[in-house]
Amino acid sequence: MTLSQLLSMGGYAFYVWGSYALSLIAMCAEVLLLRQRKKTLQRQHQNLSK
Amino acid sequence: MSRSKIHWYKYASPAHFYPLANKLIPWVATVAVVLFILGIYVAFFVAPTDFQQGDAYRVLFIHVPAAWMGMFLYILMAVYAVIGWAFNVRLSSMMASSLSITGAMFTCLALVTGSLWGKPTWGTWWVWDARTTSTLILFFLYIGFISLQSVIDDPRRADRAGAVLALVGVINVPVIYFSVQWWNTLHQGATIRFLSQPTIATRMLIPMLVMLSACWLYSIAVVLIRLCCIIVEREQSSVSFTEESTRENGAIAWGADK
Amino acid sequence: MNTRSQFAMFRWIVWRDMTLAWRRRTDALSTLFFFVIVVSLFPLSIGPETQLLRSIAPGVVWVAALLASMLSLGRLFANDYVDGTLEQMLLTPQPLYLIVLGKVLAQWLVSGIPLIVISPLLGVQLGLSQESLLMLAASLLLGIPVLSLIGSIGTALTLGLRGSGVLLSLLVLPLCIPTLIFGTGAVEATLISASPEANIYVLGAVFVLTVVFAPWATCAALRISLE
Repeated sequence: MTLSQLLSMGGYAFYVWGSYALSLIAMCAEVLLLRQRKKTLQRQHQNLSK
Repeated sequence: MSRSKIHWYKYASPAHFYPLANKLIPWVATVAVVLFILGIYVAFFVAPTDFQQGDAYRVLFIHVPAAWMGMFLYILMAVYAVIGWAFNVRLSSMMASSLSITGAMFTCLALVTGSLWGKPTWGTWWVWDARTTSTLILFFLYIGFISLQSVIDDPRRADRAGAVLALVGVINVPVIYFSVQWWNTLHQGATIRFLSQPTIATRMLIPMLVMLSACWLYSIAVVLIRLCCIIVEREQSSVSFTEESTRENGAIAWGADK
Repeated sequence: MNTRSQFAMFRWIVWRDMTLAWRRRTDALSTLFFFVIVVSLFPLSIGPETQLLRSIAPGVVWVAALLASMLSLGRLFANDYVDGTLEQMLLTPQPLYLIVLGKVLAQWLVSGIPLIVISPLLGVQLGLSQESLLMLAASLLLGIPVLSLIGSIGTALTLGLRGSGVLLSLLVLPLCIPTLIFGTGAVEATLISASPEANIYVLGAVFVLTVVFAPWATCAALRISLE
């Protein structure tokens, strides 16, 4: 599989790379949102324990 | 650990489970990332180009695992919810709540990637065949569960109400699937029928399984992280939580000031 | 507490709910008019072409019946919940199962039967043939109780919550999909002169299973909501 084949995916690049990109975005978004949730809780915990 | 038996029931307490989960998460997350990278490599460089569908079929390697995760996580969610309701185990219900969001995410992903696979192969963005329709209905069931739990303020009522809904839902899933299949065969007409795939080639099966394992481990990691957040949110005020966490780790693992 | 007294209580619950509903006739009538209006919206938005309307008629009437049922279900436990009667019902030695079944039966008699009676008229409006009209009424006769029973689970779960009306629909509509499929399937079979038997039998099976198991789930949900 050459690089140009990889990028064009036989003309279906939009569909294939689109799917993988969306999946990656969804999973990263989930992780980031969770990280934010944890940070909020950490901050609250620190405020309470002061 | 000494030669004495592990007291498994101890881990049903949120305060005890919390440190265990914290220890597991980094390992699970690392293996998940490794499997994802491996899976994508195998999906693109090892699996051959399909004779009929060209390279468009590679969407399957993320679509099928996502669809399976959506289904498995729903069943798992229902099981945990019912255990939490029947045996009055708070942690079980918290696990169900945590699973619901990841499950909904995967189901939504399955629908979207399914569309993106459908366009080049069947010619339309959406097809009302049995499997896509059932996945859509499963998504609605997830949304119902999540909405119900978010509207109810009292956490224990939310847990139990969710358990009833999940139980009714999981019993209905085979009924829904069967009825949708029936409906689909009645309305064949102009719809393009998706013929079931012949036995899948090994070089295509391996990336599928690797991606599926990657999705499983990702789910475990994410669900455990969310579970820890839920534990803290709900158990903050309980004495057992603060005592246990301070006794075992000196400080809540991620709250220690560094 | 024997079967006779249980049956007497069941009859009393049905009679009580029907009397109370009769005192608030407007509620039941407004459900009926909602049903009629929704069905009328479709020809207005799609066009008066008879062939087209005939082909969508079963689906349209069924979906409108489904939505109208959802609306009327909100009232199933609401009034009793607000004035404390529902708590008393939970505390009686009589089985809650019978109370729930009685209430759902009363609600079906008050709200469901008018829908079933009016549906052939709406079917005529949409151009259905005579056998189809009969089958439409028959399928609704089996289907609306199922919708009411499944809906009662949802109502019990969302008792007293804000935005419970929409939440109820969100929870219950996916679970009603099999009933919808088989109900419309039966009517569509008559449209193409095929036998609707299979659909009706499955609908009947769903009806029986729901009548037996749904009230149990509703009881569990009521106890959860009223703790």
